[in-house]
Amino acid sequence: MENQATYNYKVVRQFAIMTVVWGIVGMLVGVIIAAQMFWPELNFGPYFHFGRLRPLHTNAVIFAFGGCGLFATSYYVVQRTCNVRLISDKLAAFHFWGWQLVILLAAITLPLGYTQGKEYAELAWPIDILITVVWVCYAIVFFGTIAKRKVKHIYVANWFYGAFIIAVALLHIVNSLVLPVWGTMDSYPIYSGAVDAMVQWWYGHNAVGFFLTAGFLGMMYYFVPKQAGRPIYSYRLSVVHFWALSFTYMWAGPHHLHYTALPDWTQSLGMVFSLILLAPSWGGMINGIMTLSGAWHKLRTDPILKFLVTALSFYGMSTFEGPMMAIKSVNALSHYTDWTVGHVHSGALGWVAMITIGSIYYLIPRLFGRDQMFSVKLIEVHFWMATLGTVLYIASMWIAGVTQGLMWSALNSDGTLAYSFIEAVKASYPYYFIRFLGGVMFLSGMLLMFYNVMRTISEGKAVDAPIPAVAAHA
Amino acid sequence: MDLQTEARIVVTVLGFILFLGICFWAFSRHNKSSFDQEAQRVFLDDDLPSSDKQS
Repeated sequence: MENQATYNYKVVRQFAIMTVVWGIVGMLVGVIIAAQMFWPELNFGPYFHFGRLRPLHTNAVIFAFGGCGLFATSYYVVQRTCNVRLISDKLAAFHFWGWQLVILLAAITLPLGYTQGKEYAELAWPIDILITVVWVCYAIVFFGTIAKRKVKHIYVANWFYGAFIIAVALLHIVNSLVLPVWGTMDSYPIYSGAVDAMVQWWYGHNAVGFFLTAGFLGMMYYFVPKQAGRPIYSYRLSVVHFWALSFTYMWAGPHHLHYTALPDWTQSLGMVFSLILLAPSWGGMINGIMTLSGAWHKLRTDPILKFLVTALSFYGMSTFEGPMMAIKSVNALSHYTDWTVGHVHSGALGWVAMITIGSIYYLIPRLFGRDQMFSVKLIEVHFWMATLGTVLYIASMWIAGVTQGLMWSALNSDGTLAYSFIEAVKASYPYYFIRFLGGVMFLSGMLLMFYNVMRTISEGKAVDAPIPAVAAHA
Repeated sequence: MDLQTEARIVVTVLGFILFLGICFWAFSRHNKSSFDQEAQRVFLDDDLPSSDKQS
């Protein structure tokens, strides 16, 4: 049929390719700062210093790599599950180019030292305003597409993506409220003292909860059933798990401020809600893994499925570890040590990156008119590099972190500290090399992915799939 | 108790009741078939490029 209605795959293609590109850039910066921890002489001048590159790494992997992955998959999923093209191609294109501009500005301003000094919210106020505008456009495109859907029910993955979009808008605006100094990049936060710290970690933990969890669970609820060739294990559990997660995450932020000036009751409240979070987190993890029941044999031959299922396993691990670390007495040992860094990366590399990589491997052939990637063998190699890299990273940081925690709190019989700080640094030193190795391995896997993606693209053709007719019963 | 505290208590209790309501709604026998159908629908949507050419 001529002029048959098609899906907008163009914006999905753009975001999918940039996911791989920004993944490589962000992880390369990560490997560089890991090397700086082991070889401090690699800290050149002010612009290439650990203190400036570290926020560049976190912003690049979370908002550039993770963000592009979420945008690509959410645009794909919302179109395929609503049986309708995106509501506006122009707004979607603005979203893509606007977001690339944000990333570019971040990559320039952070090394130059422009920062608000809030973790994961470092970007200066003019960029914050641009982010808000781009985000609102994203919300219009996403929810507008849902509004004109051809089927009655809104598929559960879209609920997760929707929660991610709304919650991140709320978090970004509330935590970025500042009085700007006109004509400069500087600003003063409207909060002060313990309130400022609480707002920051309300933001920080919900960035984990809604950016790094809800959004990627949306990915999980579409790509795991599709790749496994089985419907979701329990659709009803997914509904309950969604609301449980949304109701609980908002309260868990205070566990980042144990034993600080934050009121004691607030710390305890944060701890209790963090413990409750185990239930919905594992509900989602079990729902995803059980989707494979009856299809386990596919794991042997399908490396994309391996990525998705391993991601769920790491999700289960880090959402067990998180509540445990939120217990105040455990936190007394773990806080400010490399254990925290290990925990974050078990979530970031193991869960977020692997579920994204698996989903992108699913998407790329479909976006370029192919039935599978150029080389399935290379996906398999990538899978093992990523898994081994993650394990090396988190195992070395566990050991380094627990060592630091124990050494810092060790006392002599007269009550003085048993170790000076530098002794704990010396004890951690070899593990920084193992962490560096793990990072190199994970990054090399991404380079392999880039090659595989480029070969697939060069063999394929960018085509927009036609929209199939809606089945009568829907 | 001041009004603010009471408002907080009311919101918390209402939120909890709402959540219980969602649980009952999700697991009621009445809704089972429509949820199952929804899980099937997404799974049956064939998005492989080679299938498009045949249609």
